[in-house]
Amino acid sequence: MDLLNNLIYGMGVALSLQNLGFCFLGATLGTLIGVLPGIGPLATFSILLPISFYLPPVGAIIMLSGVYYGAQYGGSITSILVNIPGEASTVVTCLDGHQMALQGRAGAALAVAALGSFFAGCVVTLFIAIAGPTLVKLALLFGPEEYVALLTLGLVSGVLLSGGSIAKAIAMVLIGILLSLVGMDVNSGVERFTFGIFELSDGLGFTAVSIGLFGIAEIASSLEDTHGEGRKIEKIDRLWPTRDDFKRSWAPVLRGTALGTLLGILPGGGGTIAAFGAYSLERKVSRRPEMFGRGAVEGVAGPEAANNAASQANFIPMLSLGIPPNALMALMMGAMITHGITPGPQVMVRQPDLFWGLIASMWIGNLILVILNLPLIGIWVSLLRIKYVFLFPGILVLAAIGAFAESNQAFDIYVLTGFAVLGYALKKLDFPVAPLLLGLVLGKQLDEQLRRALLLSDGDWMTFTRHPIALGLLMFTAMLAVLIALPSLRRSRDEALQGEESASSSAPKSPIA
Amino acid sequence: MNRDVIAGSLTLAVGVATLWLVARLPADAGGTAGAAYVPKLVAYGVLATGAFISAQGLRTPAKMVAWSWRPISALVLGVLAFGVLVEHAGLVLASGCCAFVGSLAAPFPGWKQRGVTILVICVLAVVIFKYLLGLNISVWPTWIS
Repeated sequence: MDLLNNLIYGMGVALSLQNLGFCFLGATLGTLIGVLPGIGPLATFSILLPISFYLPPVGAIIMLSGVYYGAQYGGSITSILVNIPGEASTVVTCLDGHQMALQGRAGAALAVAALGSFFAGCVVTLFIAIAGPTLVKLALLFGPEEYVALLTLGLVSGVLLSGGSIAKAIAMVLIGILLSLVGMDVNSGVERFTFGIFELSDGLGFTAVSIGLFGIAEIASSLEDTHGEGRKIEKIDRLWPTRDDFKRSWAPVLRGTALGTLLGILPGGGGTIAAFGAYSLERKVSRRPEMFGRGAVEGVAGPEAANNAASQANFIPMLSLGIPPNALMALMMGAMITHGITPGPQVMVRQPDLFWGLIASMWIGNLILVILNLPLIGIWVSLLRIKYVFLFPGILVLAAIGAFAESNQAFDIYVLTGFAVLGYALKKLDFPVAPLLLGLVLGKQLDEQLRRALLLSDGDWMTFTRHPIALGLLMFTAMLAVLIALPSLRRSRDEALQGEESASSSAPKSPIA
Repeated sequence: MNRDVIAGSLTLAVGVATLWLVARLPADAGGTAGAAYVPKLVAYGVLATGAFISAQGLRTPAKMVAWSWRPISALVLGVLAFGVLVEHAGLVLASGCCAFVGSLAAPFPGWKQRGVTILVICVLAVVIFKYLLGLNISVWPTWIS
């Protein structure tokens, strides 16, 4: 069987001592991000990017993926113990998880969260192995028209998945596209937006921009919110869930996994929406809905499985089509591009070691995370007590070195500071920043593919209607846009995405009023 | 100050600046889309959303939230100090200055704690980046070594 052979091949890659080490490092760092106050996954991810440039490509991507799903696990620790979501997608875990902790059942909540996530991770890993290659076969038939349609879909869903004002999200996506066009135009050799600055002819340094926008701006706002104080943590007594907990959890975990996988593949769907969806689903099907919000274990199991399933399923569109479904995946894609890997259908064909190695490493990473999160929970709890004032100067230096290291030029540091100020201003003006990143990653491709499509059709825009796949994708995009605009759906979207960007910082807030 | 009117006006400014910057580039390269084609298209979109955001701001006014200048300026100055120093003064001085200036962003429990934090950061920076990752960067000022 092809699938089995491929998975065994992937295991061989992932189990090499070096890659195993990177996987472990990534999972540990991810948990650390989830746990440490005042710095969310987007910020840390951007700061860690340049470090990955010093690693071999496969190892780097395995490590970064470990960070990505590790943050989901770590985020639930703070949700349960401190009632502060370490990650936007673990916001719902606060509701019942923290209640369980207040009732002295923190250990059970942590265990259910970790085991539920583990189960979801295993299922989705298998699912990626099956669905990825199928999508790749489809994507290999794509021409510029289909890519334009696909990129449009990616950008429109970028608007959908950001919280807050839609007009502002659109503005951010568009400005992101403009920023991506800085530098030499590959088609004509003309320089765009470079102001005659030599360093800009290669385009803006992706790392510098993302560290500035997310890293520094986020440190600044979390210092404003917390003044660098520590937090109060609930105690953990008994780690293993009761039989009753198990009995109540398995069905929610199954439902959460299914829902999360589905939402994770769809553009615009991510861990946050999946977790909220799973929570309301569990409350609906439960025989004791009155217990939700008062420490119902189902309210931890379902959403935790769902957010992990979704965040791992997010890899499917990125790996097979080259379209990142959210900002974190956009950063991941940026990392792959820097390593000379172009995410898209070619990855599986040309770099099977990366594709299958990454998939296998996800399974191993999930196993490592269960070990990190359950027996070793004490270490993370003691880390939670560190005051933020002792951490942020170090994070700052890490960010500065990171931006410098990408190309060894001080110019990138100046770019970083510019974008730091911009990122802070955007936050204050209530612009969602994540769509900008999506525009920045996808903009250049959109420019090239659109112009190629128009060249082939002699400037005729109707060419998109003559390509059935492109037309289908564009119609789906239009449908999505209409859905976003519907007021009733917009309200539930806002609810689900409330604090998508700010929840990852340490700002203490109750998740749902 | 109306927050969304400011936000919208800034968006409009980006649109106008873009159109101005690409004005000299060819939008049309021998019958096909040239280098300025997509930027122009996007700029019109930016202008439209900017106008919409401003209009919405006028309809439902939201106040501009206060900026607290200390954190963001200390952080930015810290990073700038790193950028200025790193090429000639070496990793230790650059990291130390960056950590010191940056640490002014928040009140520390005391100067001793601040000093120890900065020292630890410098040591970690050298160990991780110079020795573990092998970064091509000098540790001490070039005028010493």
